[in-house]
Amino acid sequence: MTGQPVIVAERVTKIFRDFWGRPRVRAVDDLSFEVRPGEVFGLLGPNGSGKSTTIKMILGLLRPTAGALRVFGHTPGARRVRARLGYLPEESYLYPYLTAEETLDFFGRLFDLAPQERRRRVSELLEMVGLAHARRRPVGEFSKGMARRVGLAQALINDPDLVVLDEPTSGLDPLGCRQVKDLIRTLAARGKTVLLSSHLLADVEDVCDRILVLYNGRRQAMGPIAELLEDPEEFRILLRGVSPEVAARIAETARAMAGRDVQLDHPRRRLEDFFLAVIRQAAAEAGPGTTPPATPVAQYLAGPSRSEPPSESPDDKLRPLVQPPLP
Amino acid sequence: MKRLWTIVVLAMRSAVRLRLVATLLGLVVVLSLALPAVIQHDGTIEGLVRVVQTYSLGAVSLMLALAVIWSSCGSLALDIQARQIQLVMVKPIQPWELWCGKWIAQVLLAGVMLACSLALTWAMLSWRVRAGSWTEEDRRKLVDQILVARQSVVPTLPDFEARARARMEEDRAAGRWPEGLDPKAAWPMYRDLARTELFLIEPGGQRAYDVTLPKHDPTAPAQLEFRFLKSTLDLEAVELRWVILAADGQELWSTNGVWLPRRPYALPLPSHVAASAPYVRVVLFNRHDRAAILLDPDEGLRLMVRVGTVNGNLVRAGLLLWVRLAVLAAIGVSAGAWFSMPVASLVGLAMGLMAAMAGYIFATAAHGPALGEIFGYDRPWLGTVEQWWRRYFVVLSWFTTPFRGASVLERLATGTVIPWGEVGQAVVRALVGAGLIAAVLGMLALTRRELGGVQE
Ligand SMILES: Nc1ncnc2c1ncn2[C@@H]1O[C@H](COP(=O)(O)OP(=O)(O)O)[C@@H](O)[C@H]1O
Ligand SMILES: [Mg+2]
Repeated sequence: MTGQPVIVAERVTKIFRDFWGRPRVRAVDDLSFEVRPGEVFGLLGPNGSGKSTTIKMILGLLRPTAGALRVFGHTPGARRVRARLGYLPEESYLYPYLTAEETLDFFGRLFDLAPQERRRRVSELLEMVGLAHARRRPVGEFSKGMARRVGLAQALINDPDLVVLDEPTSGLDPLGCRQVKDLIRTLAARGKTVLLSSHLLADVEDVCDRILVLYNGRRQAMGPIAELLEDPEEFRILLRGVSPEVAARIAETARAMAGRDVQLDHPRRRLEDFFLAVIRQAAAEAGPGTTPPATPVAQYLAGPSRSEPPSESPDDKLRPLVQPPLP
Repeated sequence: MKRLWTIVVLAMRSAVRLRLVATLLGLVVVLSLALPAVIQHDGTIEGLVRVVQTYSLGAVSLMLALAVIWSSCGSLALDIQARQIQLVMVKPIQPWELWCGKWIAQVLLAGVMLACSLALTWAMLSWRVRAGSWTEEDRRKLVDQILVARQSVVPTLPDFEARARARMEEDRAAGRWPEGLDPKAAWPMYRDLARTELFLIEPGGQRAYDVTLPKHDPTAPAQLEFRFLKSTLDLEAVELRWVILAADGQELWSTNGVWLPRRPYALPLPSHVAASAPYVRVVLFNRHDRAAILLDPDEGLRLMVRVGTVNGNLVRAGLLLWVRLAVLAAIGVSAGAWFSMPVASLVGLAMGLMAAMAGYIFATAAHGPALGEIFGYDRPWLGTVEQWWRRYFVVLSWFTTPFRGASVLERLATGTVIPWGEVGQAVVRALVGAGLIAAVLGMLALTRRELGGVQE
């Protein structure tokens, strides 16, 4: 991860004022960080900690009260910057009277995409987010999760170099969350830069290279996720396919060498993995044909130089995020 | 440019899909067709035309003005409130593209509605005056006098200002001058008096008026219109004699008659009068032995000549109304860029009201509020108040320039021409005046306002 940082924030402060100009909230306080090209950077913090405010300042939708922000070396909100940017807001702010297809087409036109390219991307993206069957329905009728998927598709219509996702998994079912996370890793593998915010620790842990922890608008911690989470004093040995007796004896040996501080227990599967396994099995048992066909990430997003996705199990990757309706 | 059209299409789609278009069309149909059917007129064919053209077109254009104000206020305010703007503004679109797109959509919608209502009203009118339902005489009047585009021509007056000034100087020199009276405040009275005197005809006297006719249709019948007051209190008719002379002094036409004071009259003139353009002299003899008569100085004496067809007039009236709606739309879109929907609607309505009061605003900006007439002319501070009051109205008048001018519908109903020049002037005034101010303010809002700052 080298080269010019994509985002540079220097001592950025945002104070919201009331009608009379009196300060009301210090939403972001003296915040400095850098996002480098090709990395997945996570803003982590509880509700109201200033994540969305930070993101909106990066987009030029809000102006910092103090401090400096540069995106691709320009002021935020510059037109050149906006052309290279994709944004998923924390809620899906879509026009309820447009259909899913028209929504994507509208945003494609704002990027001045050629008609043919626009049509191609719209249908690939609708396929990717699993809404191909609902393309002609007005998004006002959509469930929160479906609207979220349109929002995500919309953020990728211009094949952006910087993808800004505000709580990307909120409102999505576990399957959808997983798909989004895999998508993020795919984008990163293609050299795209991703900035995302979340209060869901698991999401951040799964996809981010580096994180910044915010609380009350202030930076509490920052660094590569592995470094932050790893305890260099601790070691763990993983045993598979041994009997409990053998395991007990190994533990005995370890205690004899290292002293009291040795634990023996069963590692738990994460609930997400368990859930996905159950769903996959249920789909398989229902017989062939009901399993949704695995759809690749939108062709143009995968790009020619697509490297191996960093997912553990390639088979559950990026199939449609929702089940198509039964015929 | 492409982005601009994308926004136009989006805004049109929203108007159609949110049933705005259907509702407005329904209202237009009801107002254009149903209203003239239920309103009583006085039974004459002029009365009918007047009811149809002023009432129903008046109701439609009021409704359209309100609809345009409201929907244009919403076109940005609602996007900001529902935050779709946050998705739009992070795309490489420029503020002017967004503003113009929204505005053009409103202008197109207003144009469609206006065209529909003009077409409907016209169809309705043609049906109501169809052959067979009126006498031949009524129909001839309709064709000759009502469904036409005529221009009224007033006499060219001799220099009355010099005389007014001389008289004012004389009064001051002779000491007939209240203490502290500002000559500037007294001047309009002297001037108006001198002008009015030109329309006064003593008992047994006469007065000649020179009229220069514009380019017009010499084959169409012309008209002499007049209205007068009488110096005695009785309302009995007065015997008058009218003579029209050509430039060379030859008599073209004359008539004697008795007419009542305060009533408007229109005398048809034979076509050779109109054909003798460009210059005629109208002489009026007052045959009464005791009463002086006074022609109304503003429209007491006019020659009406035909300068165009009613269809052309209808088109120009439509364009003029459209320009005004476009200005209201510009104000609405920009108000919506700065304020929330309820506040923006109020601002828009206030502007609409100002537009309706344009005549009063211009009069006050030109002559001041005439506080002296109410409080007396002997208070020096009144002058200062009056000055500031007037300046305030001058500023207001900048915003109302596109709404200036005589009533469009009134002229349509009376067959008075709406000149192309006025349409062009309205467009220019809209472009460099209120419309431009609104546009600049609106685009400023889109660049300066923190659009992500809506309270979550
Ligand atoms: N437009 C605004 N006006 C006033 N206060 C705001 C505005 N937007 C956000 N805030 C405040 O700023 C703080 C941070 O908000 P936000 O950035 O949305 O938090 P997060 O996204 O981390 O949940 C909160 O206290 C919130 O109330
Ligand atoms: Mg947030």
